[in-house]
Amino acid sequence: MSLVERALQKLQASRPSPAPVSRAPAPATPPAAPLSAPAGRSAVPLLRSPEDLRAGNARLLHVDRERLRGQQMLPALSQEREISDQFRAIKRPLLNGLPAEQDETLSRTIMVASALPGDGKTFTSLNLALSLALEKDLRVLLVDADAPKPHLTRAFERQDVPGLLDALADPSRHIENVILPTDVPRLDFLPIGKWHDTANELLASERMRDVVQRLADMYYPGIVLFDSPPVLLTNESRALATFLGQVVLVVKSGVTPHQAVKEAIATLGDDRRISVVLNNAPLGGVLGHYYGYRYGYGATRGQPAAGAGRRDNNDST
Amino acid sequence: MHEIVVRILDDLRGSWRFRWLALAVAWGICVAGWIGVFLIPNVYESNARVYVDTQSLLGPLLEGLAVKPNVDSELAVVRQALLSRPRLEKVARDTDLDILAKTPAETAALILDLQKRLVISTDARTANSNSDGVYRITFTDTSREKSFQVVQTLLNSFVEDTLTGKREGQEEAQRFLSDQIAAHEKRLQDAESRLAEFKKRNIGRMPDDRGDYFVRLQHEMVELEKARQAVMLAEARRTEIERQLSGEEPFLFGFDDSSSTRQQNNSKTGDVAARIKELEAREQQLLLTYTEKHPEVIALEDTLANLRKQQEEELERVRQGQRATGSLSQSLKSNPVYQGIRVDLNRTEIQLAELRKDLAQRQSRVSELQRVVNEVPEVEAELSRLNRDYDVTRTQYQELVKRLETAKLTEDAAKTGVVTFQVIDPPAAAFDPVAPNRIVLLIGVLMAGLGAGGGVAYLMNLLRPVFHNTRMLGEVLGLPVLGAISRAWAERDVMRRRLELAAVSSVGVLLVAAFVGVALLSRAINHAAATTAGLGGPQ
Repeated sequence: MSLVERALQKLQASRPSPAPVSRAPAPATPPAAPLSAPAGRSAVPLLRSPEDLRAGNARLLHVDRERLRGQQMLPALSQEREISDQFRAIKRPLLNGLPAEQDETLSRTIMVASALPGDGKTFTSLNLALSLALEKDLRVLLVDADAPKPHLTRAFERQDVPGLLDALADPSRHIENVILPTDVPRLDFLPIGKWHDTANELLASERMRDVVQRLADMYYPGIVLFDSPPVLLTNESRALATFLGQVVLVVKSGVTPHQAVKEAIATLGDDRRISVVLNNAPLGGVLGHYYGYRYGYGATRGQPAAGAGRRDNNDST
Repeated sequence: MHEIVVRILDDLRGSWRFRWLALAVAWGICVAGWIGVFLIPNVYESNARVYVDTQSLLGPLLEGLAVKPNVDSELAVVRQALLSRPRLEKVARDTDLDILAKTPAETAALILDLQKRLVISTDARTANSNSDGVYRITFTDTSREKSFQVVQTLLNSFVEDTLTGKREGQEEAQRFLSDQIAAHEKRLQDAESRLAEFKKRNIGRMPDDRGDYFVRLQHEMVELEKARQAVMLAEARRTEIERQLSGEEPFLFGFDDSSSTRQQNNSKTGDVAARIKELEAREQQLLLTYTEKHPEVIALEDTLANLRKQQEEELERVRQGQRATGSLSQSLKSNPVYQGIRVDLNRTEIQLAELRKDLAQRQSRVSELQRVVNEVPEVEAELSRLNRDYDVTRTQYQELVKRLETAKLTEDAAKTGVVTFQVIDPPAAAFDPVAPNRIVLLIGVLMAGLGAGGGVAYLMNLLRPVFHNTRMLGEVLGLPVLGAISRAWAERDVMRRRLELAAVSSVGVLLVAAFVGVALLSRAINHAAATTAGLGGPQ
């Protein structure tokens, strides 16, 4: 993760004082008319590319790692290297599995799901997004689609900002306009938006399918990650799964029962592309190496000074 | 091997999720079990050691057996002897155990219960292959006093019986023997008198030293035949002599001269007369001792008659032809050869007469025997039957007499100090209860509780399995597994986890501590019980 930090620092260094430059709200600038008549996925002309967004929006969303760490959205400093290695190991098969064809943009939309709440979807999606953003040629959009419990939006403190639900509810609102570019290079964030009574229906609506398609087109050849509600507790996640290219199911080690995971898979549909991630794997232990993180753990232990140094850096910024 | 270890660790990890449930189950079972253990009443044991002469008890049963009985059968006999129903009833009465038994059925059940709980075993100290007659009587009861009383009462009653010397069995046997002897004596006498009477009645018809009837009959017939032969021989002899006598005359004429013939003739006539005189004298003499019917007398008579007739004939012949034959006969009679033959003839005739008489007698005897031919075998059979009867009775009588003597000897031996029952150790009851072994039960309950807790946790893990590693994930779901993420914020959790571990282990330790406390409590209770029993109960 130190790489991310360094990249961030470089970025910040190359863009002196980005915050005060433009106070103008993003949704105000783009004209709404051209997007109001979507004719199909490729047919609809993109209003703006993510680069345009980033360029036009001087006020980037600050990813405050200390805060996120305090909310346990990011791993503890002592485990940072270990866990970033693990996410690197996870993203590699994920990227390798993606089709190369241009028209398969939808397969690059990934739903991070779990059977039950508390399995670690948000943690996984955020860290996976950060890890993916490290890829030099990959733009990453992190979407908070968990309407009942928008942990990501809360973590970024963007509860009052218009987001996904607003774009879904109001066809006149362009989805591009609610995307928030972050100060992490190549990583953008789409908040959930204001709470809506028919949030569930909105997330399961045809409009949602269009939005997903649009986002996929927009971020191609990047990745769009959806943090979704628990599969077994909500209805919309199933609909969401049908819109999205593939599902990463998070299973909490030692907690999620076999039966719940199986039911979740059945709910999502057997025809879905589902892969599994084991979260909360136990530390070390007698047979720690068996679980495949022995190396990372050892490395972290070997360099305790690195974390301390970073912390100093972060504090100073 | 590695896989098995991994699997076991996974199971342990999975079961660990239910640690609180496991602890709750363990606690519940332990508390309930311990209360149960304390509710079990104390059981006290009292015992006594006694010597029982199994040989005297077993003797009647083993008569004629060379095999030595094994310990088990000895035990069975001792048990039977000691735990008879009347005795147990007495024990139940004396120890007030029968207060609760109202109905006869309950009493019977009580007696059965006593029989079961009174354990008679070969003494452990001497228990080798044989018991040497030393047995241990043990009784257990929830009341120490009661257990002691039962054993004591049982022994007392037995000792009483032994001391008062109730040898009913022996006396009975002797009386029986005496009665039998008396009866047999009478029978023997009857048989004897019957036999004597019979002998008296059938005297002469019974077989004697000459043998039985048939032997005698045969003998008589042979004798008869012999007599007949003798008669025939004698007759033939007489005939021959008579022929010789008549044939002698011509022979005599040729050789005799006239003088000698005359002389002979004279002498012959004189000889006949002399002979008649002689015979008459002899007859007189015989008649002095015998009757006229004596064969010799009869024979003499016959001879005399013959001689007289002969004399008459001689005289006639002399008178008629004195010239021609008179001298001749005269001379003939005086011939010594002729004389000798005549003597012979006489003698033969006498003999013949005797033989005839004898024959007649033998004949009558045979006919007599033949007459009783149907009676004699019956008599003989009856006699042998009587004899047999007598012999049997006599043998039995002698046997009984011998037995009685033996029985009297045995009784004498018993009276002179052959002990059949003796108390070695008087009854004693331990102050400490023999059961239940509370410590063992408490430990058992603890183990059961811990086992049940672990079992419940394991079962719950089986019912609600979770994932522990990526391989398990792949195996169970059959989906591609991207990887595993370590438990983040593990260090922050460490404190909480440690606290929880501390709580779990303290609850567990508390359980063990509770066990120790309960164990100490049980010891204290036991001690108190023993003390009160010692104060209140008999020593």
